[in-house]
Amino acid sequence: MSTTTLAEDSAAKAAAAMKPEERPKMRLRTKILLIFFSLLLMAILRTGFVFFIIGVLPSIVAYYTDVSKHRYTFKSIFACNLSGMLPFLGKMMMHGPSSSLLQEIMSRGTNWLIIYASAMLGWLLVQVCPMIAQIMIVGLHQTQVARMKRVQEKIEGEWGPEVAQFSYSADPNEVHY
Amino acid sequence: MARADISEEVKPVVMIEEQVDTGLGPLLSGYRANYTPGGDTKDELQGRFTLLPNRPLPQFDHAFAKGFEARDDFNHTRHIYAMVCDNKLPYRHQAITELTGFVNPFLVPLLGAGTVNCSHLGEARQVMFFELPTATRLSDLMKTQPRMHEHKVIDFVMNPVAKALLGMRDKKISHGNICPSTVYVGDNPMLGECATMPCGTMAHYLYEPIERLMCDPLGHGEANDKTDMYALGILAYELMYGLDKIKAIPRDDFIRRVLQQGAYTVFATNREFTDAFQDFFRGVLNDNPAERWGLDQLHQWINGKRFNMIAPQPPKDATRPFTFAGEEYFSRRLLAHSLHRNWREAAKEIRNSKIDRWCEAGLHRTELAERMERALRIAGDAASDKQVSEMMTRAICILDPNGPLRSRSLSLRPDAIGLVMADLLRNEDAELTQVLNFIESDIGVYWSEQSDANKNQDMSQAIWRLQKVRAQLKNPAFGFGLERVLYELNPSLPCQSALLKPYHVTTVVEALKTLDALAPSLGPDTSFIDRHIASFIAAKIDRSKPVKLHDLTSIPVLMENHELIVMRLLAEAQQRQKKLPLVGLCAWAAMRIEKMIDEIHNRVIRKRLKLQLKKLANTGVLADVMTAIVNRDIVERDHSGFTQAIALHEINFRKIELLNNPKMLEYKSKKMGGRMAMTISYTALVITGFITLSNMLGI
Repeated sequence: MSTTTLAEDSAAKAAAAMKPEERPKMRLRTKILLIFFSLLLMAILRTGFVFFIIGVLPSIVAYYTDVSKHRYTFKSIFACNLSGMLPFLGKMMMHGPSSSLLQEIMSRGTNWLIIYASAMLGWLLVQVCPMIAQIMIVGLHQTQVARMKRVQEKIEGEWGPEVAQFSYSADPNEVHY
Repeated sequence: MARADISEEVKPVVMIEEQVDTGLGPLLSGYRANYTPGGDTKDELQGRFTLLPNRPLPQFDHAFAKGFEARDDFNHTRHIYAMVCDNKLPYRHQAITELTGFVNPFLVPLLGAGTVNCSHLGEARQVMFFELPTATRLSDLMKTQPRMHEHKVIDFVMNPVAKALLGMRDKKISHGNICPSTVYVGDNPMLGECATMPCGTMAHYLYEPIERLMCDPLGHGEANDKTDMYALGILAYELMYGLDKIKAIPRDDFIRRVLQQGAYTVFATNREFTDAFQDFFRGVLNDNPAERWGLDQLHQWINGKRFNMIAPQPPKDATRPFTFAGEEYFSRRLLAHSLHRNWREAAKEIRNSKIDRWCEAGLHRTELAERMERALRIAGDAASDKQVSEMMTRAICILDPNGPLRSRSLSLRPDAIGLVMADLLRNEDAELTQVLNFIESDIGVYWSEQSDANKNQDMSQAIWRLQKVRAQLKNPAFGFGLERVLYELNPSLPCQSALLKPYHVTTVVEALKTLDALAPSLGPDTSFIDRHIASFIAAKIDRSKPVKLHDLTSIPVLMENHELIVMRLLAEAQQRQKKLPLVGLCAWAAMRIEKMIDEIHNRVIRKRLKLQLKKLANTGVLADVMTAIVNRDIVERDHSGFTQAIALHEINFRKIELLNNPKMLEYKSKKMGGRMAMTISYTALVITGFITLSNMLGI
């Protein structure tokens, strides 16, 4: 790889990291699937679909607030939120459409606590995981940097300090390894 | 910032080599050459002749050499004297070579000549040892006996001088300085030495024929038998009639008189010669070199032959005069002289003076007019000073083809250009430019084409040399240029380098051996960069092309390195000698090259090259030492390796910068953290889904 290409690549990556991400538009296939599943759930759950909508409200909010390209926040919150709702949805599907069961589930505060706490757990994961990842990446980078510095030292030792003439754009003494 | 973070970890880089002990220092300081520059023994030549510097002989001194008493260690009864020459001017090399050991009873014998380490000067010089004449110097005799009878003149002066000149002619040399100071009379009459001084420098100017009289003091060039005859004629005249009245005439007035009336008329006016001497004076005092007597006629005349010579007529070339500076000229030569003397006015007026028409109508010489017209065309209206000067020189050449080459302030014959150049360089004179213009404009060839009298073997050789050095003069490379021309035109001139001058170096072997012997005291701080050494060596080895270090193309600093170029010339000179090991010179060169090796980037190669220098220096072959640096493989490998190393260093530098970029770290952390959170969430969803499904199915 030429040095120019590498420099361009480096700059592009850095620029990409700094650039605000645009929300990707929902694709038509996703829209059709969403409508299909909504109709399917409406057919299975009947009035229980209202419970479903209220239950996934954190995910809906996350969908609209997460403007990132990969929507990791939304996906994490939605997966956790759905995990919290699944036991109740399973019960409703086993008993079939039943107003009394729906009333019983929706009237219990602990059920809502479970559902929203699971969504909350997803949000916590989104907050905690980057910190853990940063620790891991810093460790990895430091190992790589140390290895490269050793290579640099070897090059300079063999070819002299003048070999770094193009490495330091402004002041050659600004950075030393 | 990443750079700030990195700079916190400053650690000195350990270079592979910086201080390599090559062992060259001890090798050079401990070296002792077998050769002693300037000579092993002080004041001694060839272990036979000893110079006695405490006993000067001022009566032999002249501008080019000093006289001293000397001793012949093989023959203590023989009285000899030594002439210690100046080392800034060339010698009459051919005369020295031919006359050394030449025995002629009428010629002061030159017993030996060569480089002598002179203790009184602290340097080596060219010293010539002559037998001390037992006779009286004619100039001393003339102080007590101002006049001499013509028979005595013939018997005591002319006859021995003629015999001496005949002997010299056999050796293809002439004397060039016949005058009362160089003639010894008495029981053992002799002609004095002529080897220590250039022709025409010892005698009074009256002793020079008109074509040489107009020359500058050092511009006479080599003499010939006809100029010697003229001088002998004047000597006879002085002995018989005296020259006091004529000597009282200012030089320029005398020249004008000779040009107007002719030399014979000037000397013969109010004089009555005997029939015999009338023939002689008419024969030798002829202003036309082609018609002037030579040695053969003199010999016949001395033996009694009579010639019935017609008196040379005063020169009147033109039927109508040419007016210049308010004066009318009928003589071409006088006009040429006047143009030279009034250079500025002549340069302004000559193009509008219709001189070419005068040549045609006044001189009736159509071909002369055509040549003059061509010469005047050299300088147009917007001509430079150089062009005007060349035009003037050519015009004067046309008018006076036997006269010297003339420029604004110089007047010399082509074969004297080398000597005049050496003299002007010695005095750092601005007139040197005029001499260089003569060479550049190839005026020597033009001059020789003007008259058949200008064409002889010696002159042709001199002109061939001038043509040869033309290209060399324009070449600015080391080993060429002004210094090269100096050595080409003066083969006997010792090397004028400040390093070698005190040792009187005249050959390549001497130069190499002297540098080798001086190496411990000069090296390693003294540079080889010396235009005189380079040109001296290049001239002696006859190098026609400049040294190009093509192997060092990828290192421009070294490719153009003058020190390496001088070393290459020395190496070439050494290669031409058989078995001439120069360990001292090689060690010195190796130490200079050691510094140049730092231009090689790779420390490993550098170290290896430096470590092998001592081994190479020990071989004593300069070309081997040079292979340490002048090596295409090594240089190109280093160059390509360095380019790659720079690229790799930059790539790594950018990578480290990238890895230390906090925004990049944040971006990557977010991305990886998001993926982790998503993965965990999906895992939890799958597990929950599996449990729920199990419950539904009652598993």
